[in-house]
Amino acid sequence: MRPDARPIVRALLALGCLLFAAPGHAQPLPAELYDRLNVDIVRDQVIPGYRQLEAETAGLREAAAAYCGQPVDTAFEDLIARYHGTFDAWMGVQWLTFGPAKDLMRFQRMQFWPDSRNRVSRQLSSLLANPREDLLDPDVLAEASVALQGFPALERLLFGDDPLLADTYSCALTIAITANLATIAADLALAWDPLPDVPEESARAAIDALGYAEPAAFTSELYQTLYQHLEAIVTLKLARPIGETLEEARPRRGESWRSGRSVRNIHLNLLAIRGVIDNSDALGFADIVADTAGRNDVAKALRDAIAEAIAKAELLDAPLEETLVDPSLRPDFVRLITAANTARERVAIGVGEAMGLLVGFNSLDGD
Amino acid sequence: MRRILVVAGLGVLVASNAEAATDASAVLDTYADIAHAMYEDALADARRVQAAVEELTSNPSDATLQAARETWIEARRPYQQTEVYRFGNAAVDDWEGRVNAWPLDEGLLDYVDEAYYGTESDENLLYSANVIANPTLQFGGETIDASAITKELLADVLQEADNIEANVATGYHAIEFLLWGQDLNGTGPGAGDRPHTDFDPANCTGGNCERRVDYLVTVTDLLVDDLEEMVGLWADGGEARLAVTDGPVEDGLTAIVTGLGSLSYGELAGERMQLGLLLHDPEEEHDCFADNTHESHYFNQVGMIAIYNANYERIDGSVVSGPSLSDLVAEAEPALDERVKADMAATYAAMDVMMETAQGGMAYDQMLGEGNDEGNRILQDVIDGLIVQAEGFELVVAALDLSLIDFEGSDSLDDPDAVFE
Repeated sequence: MRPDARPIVRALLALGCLLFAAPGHAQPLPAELYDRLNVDIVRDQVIPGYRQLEAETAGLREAAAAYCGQPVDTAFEDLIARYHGTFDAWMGVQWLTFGPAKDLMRFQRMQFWPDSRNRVSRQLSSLLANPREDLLDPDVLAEASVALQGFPALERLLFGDDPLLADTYSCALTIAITANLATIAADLALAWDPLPDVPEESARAAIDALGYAEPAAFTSELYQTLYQHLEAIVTLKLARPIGETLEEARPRRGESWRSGRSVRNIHLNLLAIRGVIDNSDALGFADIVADTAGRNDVAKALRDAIAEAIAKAELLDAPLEETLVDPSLRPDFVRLITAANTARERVAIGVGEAMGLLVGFNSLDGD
Repeated sequence: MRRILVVAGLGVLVASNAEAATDASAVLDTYADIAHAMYEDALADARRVQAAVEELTSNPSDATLQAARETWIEARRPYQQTEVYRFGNAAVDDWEGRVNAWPLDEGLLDYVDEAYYGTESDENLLYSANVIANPTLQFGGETIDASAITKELLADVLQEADNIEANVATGYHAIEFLLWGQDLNGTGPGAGDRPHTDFDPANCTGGNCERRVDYLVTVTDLLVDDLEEMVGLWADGGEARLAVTDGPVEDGLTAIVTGLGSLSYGELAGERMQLGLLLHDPEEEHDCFADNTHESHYFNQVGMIAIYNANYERIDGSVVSGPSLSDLVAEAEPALDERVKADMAATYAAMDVMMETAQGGMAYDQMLGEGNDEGNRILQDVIDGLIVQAEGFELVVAALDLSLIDFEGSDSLDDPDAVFE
């Protein structure tokens, strides 16, 4: 049987209007436990993720400067490879939308997406038609429209129809954008890792600096953010582009379609989510659910759902423009949506109930 | 696709508040009464727009165009107050896109300045379709016969054509675009400036004046129809009223809080305000053609305060009031009620600064311009106020022991095989 995308897509596109709430189902856990979970996740997942992003963006900036200075094919290939490496790192921390990522609008400056009103294309074409020299100063760019600052604008410059040529405004803008990304990434890494020589203390200091009244409030923030990320994967990255029927597939609504890495992004997002759920030897959400809340069944269901979604994502490596309109590939994409949505529901309901956490009003509530 | 809500009441609110003074079901009755009054007011003002459009199209002049614009601005005031009913009430949410969909790719409807608007979009094949100029539209493999401009064409064919939300053919913003035209002033001063001769077949500017007149009359009639329908849904025995008053009390209260929280946070603070500030883009304002965004946001907040306190002042000056959500919160947790009221007052004050700034000559689209630190700050203060206000509503959910789980579509989603059928 061939999966029909219609019911699931309709259901998912209508999602995201209400709050999940399950207060009071579980006894609050001891504050020390929330604290341990928080520190473990920041130390083992958040800090390494941002340090990786910092290193990748620094390399990307160098590669952009190298290519624009000496535009040989190998230098362009290196630049493209650096772009992918950097975006891989970004997918590992994309779920972290609060705190330092929210301050100074860093998240949106890194990646303004989805862009249902075509703002990036409009603002970028307008800029390339009427170049503004002042925006080549990364400090000035950092204050300009987010549509011009981050990955989506860079992706158009690197993967657009017009080849990127040296000695052009486009190349100079490419350097400025990569420098801006490197600065933002370095600031994010510093905010989460203020004491790099002592990881445990560093994680604690970063959490303290965010000023949550109690450890449970930070845990709740992590949980809500994780849930909203899963919701974004399901609704924005998966359900929006697939369309209810093959004719209605709109691969260009997918993330990163120009660089052909839409599903790779989701795969890397899911691996990052698994890190927070399992967190190798240290504490993750699933450990608390199983060991403290005594809900082995919920923890197992959650782990299974994430593993299933990862397995489905691994099967798909073609660009969305092929996957969504190829009758032999499209069913795998539907299976990926189903698996990711199951993971979403298990985080929302299972973990929420077991840990007494609730998902609040959601930034996706708007139109 | 109807939203299915499964609400698990964790505390039995009515029982636990047996000694309380406020009857929760009376709160819900008042909430429905205010909805009915608000939509009646919106309808009355929409009829005034309809009359003014009639006057404009039968006697096009600067004066009649200006009068039509003024009635539109006045009509937004009661309508924007109703928006707090959108989230949480399925009947309203399902209907809302017909009357207030935004943002729109206005090139679907009429001529646009290509240098300003561009000509194509990754997302929307009908980005520049211009139905007023083109009796036949083609996109992808489809052909639309638009030779007669009818309610059916607008509501059933063009609205959200190709499943693109930016294809907005009906509602306040389509009317706004027709009355004002594009605002080509960027983040500089000035609103849209369509000449009245665009509606004058005898001295036609902009081309296709008869089709433009047909469009304006039809889309205004549709707005009146749609508002009549919504008034009916909140009248005695109406579907929207019954959904609130005849179900479990927890459901109804949850609808109230959901409306307040979702409008404050995701919709107003996020989609309508923060995004514009991030992009410094003059098109990212809710009433962008008329430069009326400051009023649009302000009256959202006025509506939210009216709902929380169950006290609505109608356009004729009379008041609809009764037992309120505020009363219930005050009984459950007095400090929280004080907090929510203070938060809402603070947001209102920030909105007031925005209003005065706009009335003083710095329009909303100028406030969000790149490098306008003062204007940016004014808008950010409103956004921050709305976010704090939304956090208060999250606490109200907990304080009233409400619990709400969105199981939408879950039958098919829980069972992966269901989607293979």
